[in-house]
Amino acid sequence: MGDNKQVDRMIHATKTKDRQNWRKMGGRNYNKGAIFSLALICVIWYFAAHAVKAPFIFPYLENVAYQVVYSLTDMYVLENLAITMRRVVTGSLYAFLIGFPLGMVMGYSPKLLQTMSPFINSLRQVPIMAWVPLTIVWFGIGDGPTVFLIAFSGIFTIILNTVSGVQDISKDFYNAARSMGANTFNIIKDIVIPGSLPGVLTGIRLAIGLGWMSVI
Amino acid sequence: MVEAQGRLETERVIAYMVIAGLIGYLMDTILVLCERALLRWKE
Repeated sequence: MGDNKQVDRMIHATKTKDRQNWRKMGGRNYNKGAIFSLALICVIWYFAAHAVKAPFIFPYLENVAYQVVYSLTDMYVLENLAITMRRVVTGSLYAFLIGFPLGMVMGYSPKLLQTMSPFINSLRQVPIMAWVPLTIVWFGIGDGPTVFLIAFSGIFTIILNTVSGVQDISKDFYNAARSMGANTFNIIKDIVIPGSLPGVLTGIRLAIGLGWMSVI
Repeated sequence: MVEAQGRLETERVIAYMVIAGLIGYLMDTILVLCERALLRWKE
């Protein structure tokens, strides 16, 4: 071992390959970890359920697995799943169509952000279930209320993530583009939209997840 | 899921929860792949 502590640490890290192992856990070979965790959960579930012996409270793993396979081959369940997915996609699309331009203008213009944020921030605090009676009055019975609620639960996530995506763009990009003679349209097309894309995509991911959660 | 809840069929409720989780995971994976394709310039 060397005298220097840092050298010792480096030798130790190389020997135990801990860096490579950590990289594998969250990188290329993460599936191994996920499959191992799933198997471990299943084993614990199997033995715990048989120890408790109360299938009404804690069902057996084999019965649940049978129900999963049975449901995935049952046309009634598949049809309902397709209807639910269609609603989620439609609702999320509406959320994107409204939330993305709103988030863009709010992120680009501080004045608009200041004007709109009190409304957005108060509206998004209203519990989603409080909208249910109102949506039935507005859209009647059918897909309308569900699609509205999915869109409503996702729209604020998209707005907030788009705003933060636009605000995260470095000022240097704007200055560089302006110094090269770019107009506002060019800046929006070549800097704001591509630069805010990571935030927008995160917003869409969260919105679809929220829609899927709220529809079931 | 609501039907199974009403009939107190715990196994079916959990089975539907598993299916919902699987479909949600698949949708998220598709979006992650789209994200990777769209943000290739960032890497």
